[in-house]
Amino acid sequence: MAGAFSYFLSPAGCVTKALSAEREEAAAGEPVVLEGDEAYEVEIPPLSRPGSLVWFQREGKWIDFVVSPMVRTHLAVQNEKLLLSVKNNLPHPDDLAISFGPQLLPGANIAAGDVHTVEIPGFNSGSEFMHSAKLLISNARAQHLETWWLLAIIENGEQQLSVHTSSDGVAYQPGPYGKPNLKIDDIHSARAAWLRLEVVGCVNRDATRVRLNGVDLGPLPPTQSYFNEIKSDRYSPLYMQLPSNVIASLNPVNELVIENPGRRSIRPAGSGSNWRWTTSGTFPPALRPRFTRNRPATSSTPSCTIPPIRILSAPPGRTSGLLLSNPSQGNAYAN
Amino acid sequence: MVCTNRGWDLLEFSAALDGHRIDYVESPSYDFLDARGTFVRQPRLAADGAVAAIKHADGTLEVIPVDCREWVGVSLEGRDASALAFDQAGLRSDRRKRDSAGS
Repeated sequence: MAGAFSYFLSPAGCVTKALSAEREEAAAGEPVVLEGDEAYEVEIPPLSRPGSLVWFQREGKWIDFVVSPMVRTHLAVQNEKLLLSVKNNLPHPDDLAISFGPQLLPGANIAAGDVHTVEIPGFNSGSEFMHSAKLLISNARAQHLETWWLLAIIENGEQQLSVHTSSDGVAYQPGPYGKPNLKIDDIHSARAAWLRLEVVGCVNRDATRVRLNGVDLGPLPPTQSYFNEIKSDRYSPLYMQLPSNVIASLNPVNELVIENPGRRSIRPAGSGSNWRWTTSGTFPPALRPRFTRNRPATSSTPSCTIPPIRILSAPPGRTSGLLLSNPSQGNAYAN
Repeated sequence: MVCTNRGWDLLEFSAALDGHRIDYVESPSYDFLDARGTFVRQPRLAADGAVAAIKHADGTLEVIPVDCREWVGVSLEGRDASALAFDQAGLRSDRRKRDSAGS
């Protein structure tokens, strides 16, 4: 019941025979057998989300199953190859169709508990990029969908490919005016560029200053809730125009520092990036996934160094932008 | 970490289960589970958050969920049960709703 603090249960005296099943977990689309006074075969609904509970009622009694993923997957770079491992999580062999982004990979019949590994071609282009990679695995009854982020950067003339999940802090948004094969000279000749940030809390905004590559960009501009304490500032986007001398100073890796005496949480724009919480005693700031507002300013000036901004050139068909990357604290993207 | 006593009527552990940490207590006076956001099924309790089940002398169970998003389950050892919901002041939630609607 919504809003209830506690429940008092008064058990009946007699013990009744409950529904039972051999398994507590089953994948979407799988048949399972319920044992009551009679046996019943039922199917886990094909669109069930892994981790959710599915309930069945027979003979006036209920039983639940935890929906398990039909496969366990692992994507990794080994010996400069992008390798996908698929483990059949079902209790029987299964024919699986596998597609990775637009590529249809060879299907496989995988025995129960066995692992099938396949190389995904086409990622050794020698260029820099970052984009999402969607994996779709399907059998005759259900589908398994998973998304990673692929990041390729050029270091010392060699492409280094890495795989990230959304939970490790990677975020990416394409720039609005993208240009394939972007080079640093192109960046330096840009007529306009800006940083996009998101903030929580609207006090002392004029005391929060931003520096990019050592150049003061000034205070954070106001958001729509600046004059209204009731509205939430959460996720409010902020755009900071970059002056021409800052555009001319952009390098493959750039430093962004936010002086943040109001101790607000700030993050580079992009879903999946981490909120930065700055305090006077913490440098670099510890990650605190909490939101606050109306904290008093302190006499000291805590600052927050956003992970270095990395400029990526875009592959054909994709736009370019700035990637904020820091392997130890996750990556984020600003445009 | 696991704690128990000689009579084996107390069991307490904190453990990593499938990659995430849970805390679980079985005792004569109460059972407790903190599943920390992921649904976990243990012998006497199942939940996706924290839940305490206090055992009263008259055989009733007081179940207090904390930060459970969707699921709370308690073992009744195969018995059916009737349930009453209460608010934090100990008032029956259904009665409070009726009073609010009438005022």
